[in-house]
Amino acid sequence: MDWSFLVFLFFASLTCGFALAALLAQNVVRMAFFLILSLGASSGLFFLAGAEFIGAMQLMIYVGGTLVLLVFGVMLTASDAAVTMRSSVSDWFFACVPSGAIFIVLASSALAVPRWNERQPAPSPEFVAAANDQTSRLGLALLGLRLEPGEEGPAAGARAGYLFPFEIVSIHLLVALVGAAHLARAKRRAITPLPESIAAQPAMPAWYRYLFNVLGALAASKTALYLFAPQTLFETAVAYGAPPSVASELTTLNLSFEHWRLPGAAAVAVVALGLALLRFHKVSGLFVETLGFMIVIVQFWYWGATATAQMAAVSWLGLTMLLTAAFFALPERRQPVAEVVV
Amino acid sequence: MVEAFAEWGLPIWAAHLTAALAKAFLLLNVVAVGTLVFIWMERKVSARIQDRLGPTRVGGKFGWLQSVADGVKLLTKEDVTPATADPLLYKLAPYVSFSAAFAAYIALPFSAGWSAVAMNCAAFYVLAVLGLEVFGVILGGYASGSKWSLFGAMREAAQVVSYEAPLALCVVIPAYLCGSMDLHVIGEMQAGWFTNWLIFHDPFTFVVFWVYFTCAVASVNRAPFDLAEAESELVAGFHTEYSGLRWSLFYMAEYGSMTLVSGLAAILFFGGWNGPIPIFHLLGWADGSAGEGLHFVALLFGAVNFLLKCTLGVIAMMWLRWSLPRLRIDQVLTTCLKYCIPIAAVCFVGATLWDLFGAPFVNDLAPHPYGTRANVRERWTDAGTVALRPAGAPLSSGLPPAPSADSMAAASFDGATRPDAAAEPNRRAELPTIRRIR
Amino acid sequence: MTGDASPISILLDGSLSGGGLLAAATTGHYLVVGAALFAIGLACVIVKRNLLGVLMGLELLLNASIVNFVALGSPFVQPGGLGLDGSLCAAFAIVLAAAEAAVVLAIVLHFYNAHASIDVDRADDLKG
Repeated sequence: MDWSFLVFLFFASLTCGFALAALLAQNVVRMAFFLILSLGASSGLFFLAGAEFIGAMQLMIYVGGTLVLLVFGVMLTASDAAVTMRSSVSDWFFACVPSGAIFIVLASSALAVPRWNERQPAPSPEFVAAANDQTSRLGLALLGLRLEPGEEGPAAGARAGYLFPFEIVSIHLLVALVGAAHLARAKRRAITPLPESIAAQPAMPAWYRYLFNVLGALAASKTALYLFAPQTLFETAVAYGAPPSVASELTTLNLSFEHWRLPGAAAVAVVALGLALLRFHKVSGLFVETLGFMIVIVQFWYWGATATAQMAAVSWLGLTMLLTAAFFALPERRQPVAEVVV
Repeated sequence: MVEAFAEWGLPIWAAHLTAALAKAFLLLNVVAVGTLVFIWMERKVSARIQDRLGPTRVGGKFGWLQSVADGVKLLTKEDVTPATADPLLYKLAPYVSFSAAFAAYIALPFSAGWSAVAMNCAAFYVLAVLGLEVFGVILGGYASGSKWSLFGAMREAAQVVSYEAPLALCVVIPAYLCGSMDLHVIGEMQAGWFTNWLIFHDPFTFVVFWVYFTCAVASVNRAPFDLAEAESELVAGFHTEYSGLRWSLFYMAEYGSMTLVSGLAAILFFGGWNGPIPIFHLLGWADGSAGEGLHFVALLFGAVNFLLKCTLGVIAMMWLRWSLPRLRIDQVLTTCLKYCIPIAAVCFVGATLWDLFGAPFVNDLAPHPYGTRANVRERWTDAGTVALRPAGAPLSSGLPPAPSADSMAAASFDGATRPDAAAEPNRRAELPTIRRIR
Repeated sequence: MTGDASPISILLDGSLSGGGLLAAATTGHYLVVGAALFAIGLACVIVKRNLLGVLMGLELLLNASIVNFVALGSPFVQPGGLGLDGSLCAAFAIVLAAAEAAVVLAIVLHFYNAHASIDVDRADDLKG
């Protein structure tokens, strides 16, 4: 393993060096370029630490997605004054003193903890084989089944997985997407009175209603997923060789179809009713959708599946927020395209 | 390879270094020689499509040394930097592009177990690194200080970022069907007759291959999606100002990534290094039981198979380029957002359901004495969810041997009974399974 | 390695062949890289006047935390550390960084539309 320290030094110096270059660069495009190289080199560090999936993820999302966006932003806002914007000496002073102090504190504390500075003995081939399969363990953890390398048996299923954070993050991404689109939209203003043909249209154009329908259908399908998916998820996990403890969880949770049929049918019926109502009356539709979700959540709690109930609650909250936001944000009338107001 | 160098008496770090350099050298040869061959081939293919002869003189017959002559010409050209350019970024951009196209080859297997690095998320890695090539183009276009270059770069950025989404969605489907993102595993699961290739798995994978091909052509900026260098509007787009060696680096990056996406298509949909007829399985050479030398021959022919499939993919791209007119930018984005993404999403759901309900696929009707993909997957997952195989070990030796003939005779054509299902007291049998195990 | 060793001695103790410079990287080394990235990112956030430069500094700060998470979660670098939690936190941090960048870019474009500049020093009024 000792050769790997050379590789570590190589990637570490590239990461820090390019980060420093990004700090010192005056031109913002060059700064973005150095940042790309720095983040790419740090993904090399991740590969070295055995986190292949995280390294590839860093390259794909961080470097390939986020930074392309950033460079796009740089180009959209590039003017000569903006490209090279110099900072005053006092700015540099007030930046370097606290960050230098923080670096000294962090680095010395990192090197002061004995547990973090023990050289690890070369791992056995079995351990390497078990630990190298991090990708599938990551996938299982995101489905709610967390395993450490080489681990099987009663302890394996007992730790909480990451299904819940995964759901939260997906809703967060959705909200961020809507928010970003809302913020970056070009503001348009009607400069002439609305033409008769447009003013005569109903307040909510047809496709907005379809938007509500799509969101409602999303809600209904999520309801169905939470009703039937825990079973499916657990069974898939077991079929793919999950430890026996999960099988015993299955039996203790009473996740058989007979138990779910009645509340499931009720919830789906209520959500479908809400869906139908959304078409005609938004507020009561939202209310009924909420009711359907409440039924689901209460059922989950009743049957002891607390984590799933929490998950359903968060997802319900997110969808309701989204529906409400759409309800308030959508314009009352379709407006003609007019000049962009800056 | 490292072990071999270490046995020669090199210290371990030197053995690692030598192995890495040797692999990098081999891969560099694949990219560079591939580019030379493909440039010559592009000239000949385009000439045939336009009813011309193409290069005929350099190197005697067929002008096969034409690309070498081109290369020499490019090397002797003056390396010009425009006065308005940002010199640092202008000079570095071609290297960024080329190294991104080159780095993706690290995880690409050329035959069973033959890749520079065995990565268990290789498909994801290749996609990720392929997406980085756009940086070279954006930076080169911006740093050139010319409006044509900037237009080309912006078009390229918009195009590549939007086409990454359907491309990833198409790659997810084979990864899902094989239960792994390891390209070795995906390739090895398609062993056997050509009916076991994933493109023939179900109608949805058949459709999604074409979506993949469209998105791949778009993501490597080939016609009809070559808006970034639209020579009829933008002079030469992002590389207007480049000349000489730096220009040829962009060119090598383009051809390198073309080969790469074709290779990825070959592994994901066309069985990778497995030929249409499992000759080496029939001969018994493929699993190493007939001796190391014959095993090596089988692997070598696997690599030949793979390179042949890559070349076919690249030729198909050339054929497209010289047959179709260039799209407008709005048409490019419409193709992506209105067609590719919805079709790929529907195919994803469809392929998932097809697999979930165990609908028949064409390989059920063909002889499959080496195990269907599902059999291979079952054996693979039986090994446990955690310890699948030692890192870097060739997969072919890691798999259990193929089931014997009589146990296969017991298995019906739809494979509802697995050969070893009766032997082990299966805990799955007691649980309501949602998947009909083929 | 004892707790009171200085960084230099950690890098250089032992001969070149066994331990010392050529030993495998420990968690401490990764954390030092993380600390350096954090400090540089912080300086970037403070010193840059360009809004996008501030955003890039934020990315460096996030990347520092991701480096720490990966190091502490790696079964090779720190056995018995965070384990899978570290890798998953790193994954979530990457995803959240992407969301954050999208929103910040939208804000930057908004600001640019309103002020025709992306100088943070000019963002001093609360009324759009």
